[in-house]
Amino acid sequence: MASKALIAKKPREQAGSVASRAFDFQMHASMARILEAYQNGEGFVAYFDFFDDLIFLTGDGDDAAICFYQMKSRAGSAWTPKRLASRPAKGDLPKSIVGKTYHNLHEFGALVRKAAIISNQHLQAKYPDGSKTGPDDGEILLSALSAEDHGVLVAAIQADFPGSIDPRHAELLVYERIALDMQSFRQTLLGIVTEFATAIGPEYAVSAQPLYQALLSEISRCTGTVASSARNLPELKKQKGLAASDVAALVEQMKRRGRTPTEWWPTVEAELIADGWKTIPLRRLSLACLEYWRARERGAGIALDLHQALAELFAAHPDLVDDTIVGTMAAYKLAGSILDPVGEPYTGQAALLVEIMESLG
Amino acid sequence: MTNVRFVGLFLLSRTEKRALKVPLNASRIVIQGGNGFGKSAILKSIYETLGALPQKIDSRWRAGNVSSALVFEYQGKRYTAVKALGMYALFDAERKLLFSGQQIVKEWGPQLAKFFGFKLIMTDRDGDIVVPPPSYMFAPFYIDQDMGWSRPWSSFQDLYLPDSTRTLADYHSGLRPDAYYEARANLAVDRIALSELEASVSTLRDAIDQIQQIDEGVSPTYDMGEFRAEVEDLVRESETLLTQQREYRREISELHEETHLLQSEKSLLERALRELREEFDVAAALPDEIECPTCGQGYANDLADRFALIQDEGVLTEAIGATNIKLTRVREDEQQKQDKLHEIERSLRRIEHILAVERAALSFNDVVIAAGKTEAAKILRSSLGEKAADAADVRYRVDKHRDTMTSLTSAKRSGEILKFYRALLAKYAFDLDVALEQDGAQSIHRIQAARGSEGPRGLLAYYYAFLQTRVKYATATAFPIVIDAPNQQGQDAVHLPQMLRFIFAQAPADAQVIVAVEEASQGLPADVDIRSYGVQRRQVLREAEFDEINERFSVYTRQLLL
Repeated sequence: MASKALIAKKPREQAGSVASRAFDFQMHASMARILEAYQNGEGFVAYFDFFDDLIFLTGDGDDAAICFYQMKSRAGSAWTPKRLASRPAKGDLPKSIVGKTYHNLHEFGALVRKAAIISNQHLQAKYPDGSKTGPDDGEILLSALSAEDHGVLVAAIQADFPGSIDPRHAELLVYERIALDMQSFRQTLLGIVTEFATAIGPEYAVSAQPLYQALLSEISRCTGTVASSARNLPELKKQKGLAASDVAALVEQMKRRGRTPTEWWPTVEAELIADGWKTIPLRRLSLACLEYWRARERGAGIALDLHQALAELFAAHPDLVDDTIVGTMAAYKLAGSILDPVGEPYTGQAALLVEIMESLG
Repeated sequence: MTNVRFVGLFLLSRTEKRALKVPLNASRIVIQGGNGFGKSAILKSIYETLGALPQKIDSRWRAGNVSSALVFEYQGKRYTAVKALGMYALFDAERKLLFSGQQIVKEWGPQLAKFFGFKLIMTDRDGDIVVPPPSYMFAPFYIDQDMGWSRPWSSFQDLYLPDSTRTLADYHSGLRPDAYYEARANLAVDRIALSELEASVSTLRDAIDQIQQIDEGVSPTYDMGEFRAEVEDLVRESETLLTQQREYRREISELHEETHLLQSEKSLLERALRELREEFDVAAALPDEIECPTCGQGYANDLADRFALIQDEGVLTEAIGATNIKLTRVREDEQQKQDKLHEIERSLRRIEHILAVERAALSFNDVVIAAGKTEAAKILRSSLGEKAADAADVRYRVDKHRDTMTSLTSAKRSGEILKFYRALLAKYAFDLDVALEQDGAQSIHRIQAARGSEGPRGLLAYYYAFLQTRVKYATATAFPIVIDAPNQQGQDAVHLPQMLRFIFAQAPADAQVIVAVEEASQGLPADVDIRSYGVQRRQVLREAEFDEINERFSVYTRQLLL
């Protein structure tokens, strides 16, 4: 009975989930823009939900410039000049979407390089020659629209900003459709991040998911933080910003990642099988290697001591590396007295193998 | 893959006293002639000489009682196939008869299949395993003007066995290669043998049981030597089973331990993954620089540091997936071994029961009473031992054949073949201006022919995508491609030349291509040999060539009459 009622009745309001989805879309669209800018070699600091949904600050001093992006996700139909110009009866100025975009130009004047409305939906309007705008048009300068459509937008700006308006709006106000679908933008972004990692090197594709998670987490943090009394740009950046240098640091970290035992084990296993090892001893060694690796990564004292002892052994005998892993293990085993740690789920042999494989890169 | 190349075709009508010699000693041949001038009669005769029956043979042609001889090269040697006097025959280069047959299905077909190494076997409507007639060997290589442009796999009229379309496509594309059908044929033979042996074993066991139960409590043994031999046999069988039991227990124990170790590995990886995520979530909530509450030392916690905490996530997730696959495999393996072990234990219990009876005390009287029965049991038991051993051998072979068949039809291999075929079909459809339905998911068994002039072009794209797939993945002998009248459904001045160019340009490398058209269009490759035939309408054979060709045929027909 209760279940039937829950299905049959319509919820009074779903504004929460709609807003959450819009917020999520905004973060993903921002991530796409940041990765694109990084790949294009742009130097930037991106600020989230600060004066606008996303702003890009480039250059400094006299060369400083700002691009403003207002993210407008929309389920259903395309945007039209009328919708962008629509002004609700109540509320403070500016009331229209295009007016809010123009607001940045009004406030920051010469610093503005671009003020863009970005949406998942395309703009349904006409060019001066009567042809229609389409989903694949990319960035559309609003002044490039037909006189009628542009006129509707300018009228809304004039209504939001009584008096004269900055003539540079004709060069700076743009509309851009971003190729993210409301149903699948998360998967699309993950695909974009995978392509980003693969472009650095095919072997980094495996880092795509964590890279996406880290970026999303950082953008979410910056978006959700309320800027509070920042004294200078570095402080503001700490609270709300993500720079190209941060992305570069992520890429460097990705490149520095050492291989885990699960990645190099197949090579070792093949050699050990050729050397006569049977299934069970192989499985035991594989598990012990993982146990040692994990204990060391977690900073367990015994594992760290063993790591230190093995590092010293390698430093004392750098010339014992053999053509084969089995040979190298045997040589180091003979050179040092590697004991099995008491009460640990791994062996000295497993620790030696992990350290050898990591030292071989 | 070995290729067959045609060298020449000889047609002879002793009824009309006319004959024709058609040289086929070129790689690319166009046979040109007006409507009704006999092009199709020539093309239909090529594979008909080898025993494949083309669609719709003209009644006048049939009335002419035309004999045919097809000269071809195969594995570096020259042969002549002859269809004459109601028989099919194959002669070597010295015109010596190699084999012949009157009945295509029972006599000629199996011999020709063996000659060309054609391993396909099929099941007929009665459920019997048969070697299909020669049409099945040549099906991908001939496009008949009457049916071949309407639907695929219908250019010959005797593709009559059940599920022919699917079987032909699977065999010729390499989805089920020669080795698969070889294993299937052997499996069929061995299954029959096994069924007979199992029936014998069961009958013998029943017979021995019945003899033993004639007088309960009396063992069917009348002398101590025989008694001892019987017990020794049972003990030996029991020892063999015990050895197998020990071996299976050891293997199961190892598999069990392997399962346990893999399970531990999986749990460890899952735990590591969980911990990475927790560490990351904690770090994400902390500022970029953290001060240790104990020692006061500062630590960096910027974006790259936090990323470092979870950067192994992808690797670990993949590793968990791989471990799951291994776990499934090992568990299945363990279950199979458990089943075998249970089988062995059942056999052991049976032997223990028999031995318990054998150990029962025997009186002299029992021995005397049992004497007659024991003699019979002794003979039966000896026979039982042989049959059981033979059955075990055959059972082993049956398992091997099944394994071979499974390995040759793996999803990975099939996926690769279908991917290759679909990519080519899409390309050829584009080249021939054909719109495909269900782009990228077309069946390899058939193609839905579109209506109008697009239909024949779609079929041509299918035939060629299939032939190229065959070249890459199948191992069976390849034959020349014979295409009759591609100008079907009113191809216009653009599409007909496009089809002809395509036929030659996209044919598999080294394939001989023979095409019949009303008029050879412009733009054909320079190396295409264009020939015209037909004295007048409905008369392709020539009186002038009768004597020479009749003489040639006499050498063959004399041997057939003998």
